[in-house]
Amino acid sequence: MSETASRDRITAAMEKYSDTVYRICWLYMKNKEDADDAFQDVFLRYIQAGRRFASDEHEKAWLCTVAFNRCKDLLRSASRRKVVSLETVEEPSYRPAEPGNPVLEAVQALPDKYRDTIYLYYYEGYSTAQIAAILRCRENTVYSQLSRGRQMLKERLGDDFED
Amino acid sequence: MILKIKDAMDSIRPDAGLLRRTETAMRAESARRKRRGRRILAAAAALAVCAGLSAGGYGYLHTTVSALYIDINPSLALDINRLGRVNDVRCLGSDAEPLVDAASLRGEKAADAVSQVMAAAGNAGYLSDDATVVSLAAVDCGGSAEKTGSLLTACAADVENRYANVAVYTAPVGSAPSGETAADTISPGKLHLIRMVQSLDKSATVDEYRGESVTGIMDHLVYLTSDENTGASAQSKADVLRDLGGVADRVRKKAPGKTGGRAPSAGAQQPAAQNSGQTASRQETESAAAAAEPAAQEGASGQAGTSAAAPQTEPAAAEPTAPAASGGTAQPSQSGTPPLSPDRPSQPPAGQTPSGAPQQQGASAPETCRTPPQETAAAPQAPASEAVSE
Repeated sequence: MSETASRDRITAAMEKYSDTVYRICWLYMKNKEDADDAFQDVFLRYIQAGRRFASDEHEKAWLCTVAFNRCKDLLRSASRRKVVSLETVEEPSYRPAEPGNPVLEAVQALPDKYRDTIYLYYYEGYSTAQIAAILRCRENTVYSQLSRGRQMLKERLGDDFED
Repeated sequence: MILKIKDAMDSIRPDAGLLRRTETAMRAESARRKRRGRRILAAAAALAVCAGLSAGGYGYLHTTVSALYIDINPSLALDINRLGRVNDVRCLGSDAEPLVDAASLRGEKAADAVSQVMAAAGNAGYLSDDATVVSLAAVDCGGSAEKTGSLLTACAADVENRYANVAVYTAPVGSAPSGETAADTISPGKLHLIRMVQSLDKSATVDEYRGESVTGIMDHLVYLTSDENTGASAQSKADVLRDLGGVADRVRKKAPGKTGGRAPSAGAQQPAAQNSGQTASRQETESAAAAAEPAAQEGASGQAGTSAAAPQTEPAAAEPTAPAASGGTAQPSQSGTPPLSPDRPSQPPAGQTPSGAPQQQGASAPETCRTPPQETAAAPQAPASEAVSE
């Protein structure tokens, strides 16, 4: 791949998928700093993989999957499990998400599996079959997760929730 | 609900700084990957070159550049590579196959391989206590003729040093095998000896001597070079004697009564243990022949043992099937071969025999030249030889 082609590919990927990837990272990591790290990791993996995709949809689905997995890995990582008391920390290493949007907070508060499904279905507009392919699960599982996710959002949002 | 979620999500966007940093990191990673790819390519190319050079070097060093032929008579050929080691072993005849384990010879140094072959031949009884002549010949197969010659000389010297009873004849180094030698039906060394026989005996054919042992051919050559035994020119004899060198002297010295004509049909040299019975029966046959041909013996009585018994033992036609007829059924020669009777060195061929000369004598002379090896080898004990010398 030539230098120009490589530059174009990077620029195009950033333009097309940066918002989607960042939203997934932010939903998972729940703070800007960790979301930024996860975001950079995902795009670095995109370059390292050096894959050729059949279509833009394929490319987007691949990036979503990598973003989900990378965030889960970061949350599971040993470094993140080493916790210290907040009293001993003079300044937090990250800024908590700013409160204000109850819908976002409710979505963020969902368990991972429901959050992924809700996000992909309601925001990205994927079908249940596509979500099943991205999350590597059965379509029926997607249906049940959507149902339970909606139920949980309804419980959290109360009157604000309109199905 | 969908709109609410969308509205909430739309507010989440990466800032410009993050996008710039990420893009820079991606370009750096991309450049690093390209450099790594180039390094991997360069390493792979270097490995391929190394592998190619190694394979080429191995192929170059292990290419057969010389073929070393050993004739005892089992005959076999050793293919020698540039390292002077055995690449392969070829048996020139079924009798050589049980003699050596080709696999054990592969990779051995040429001299060691020859030594192993000689040891195996000795164990199998092919080397008698008497002087056995072994022919070593080498063919240059694309290497250096000089190196092939040195290899041949070294192997010959090694054999002579190890075996006091073995005389080694080394044929001149030849170029690539051709004709029969290329088909591995006969070795160049033996073929060279047969050509020498043919230079002295025009009726001799390669097929007659194909299965003959080198000792037998050498005995016959020495016999043919005796002044009185053949009508060949003195120059030819001198050429042959010069070619044979010290081997002829050793053959003469081993036992004066043993050199003489060889019957081509005597076949390959048999292990000593197997020879004894045949030798005895042939001695009896020979003595009967001697008794039946007193006239022929008269002519031979003045000669040394090298040819004394010869005139009575070979059929006129001197064909490979002679042993069965060697019991004294001397027949008039129709072959035109010069007579080899010692006292009639210049006698013309049978068809041209002067009137009054016994046809049988003239005819029996060339037959004697091809007395089976066992007969000549046993000459000192043979009643026929004793009768002649008496």
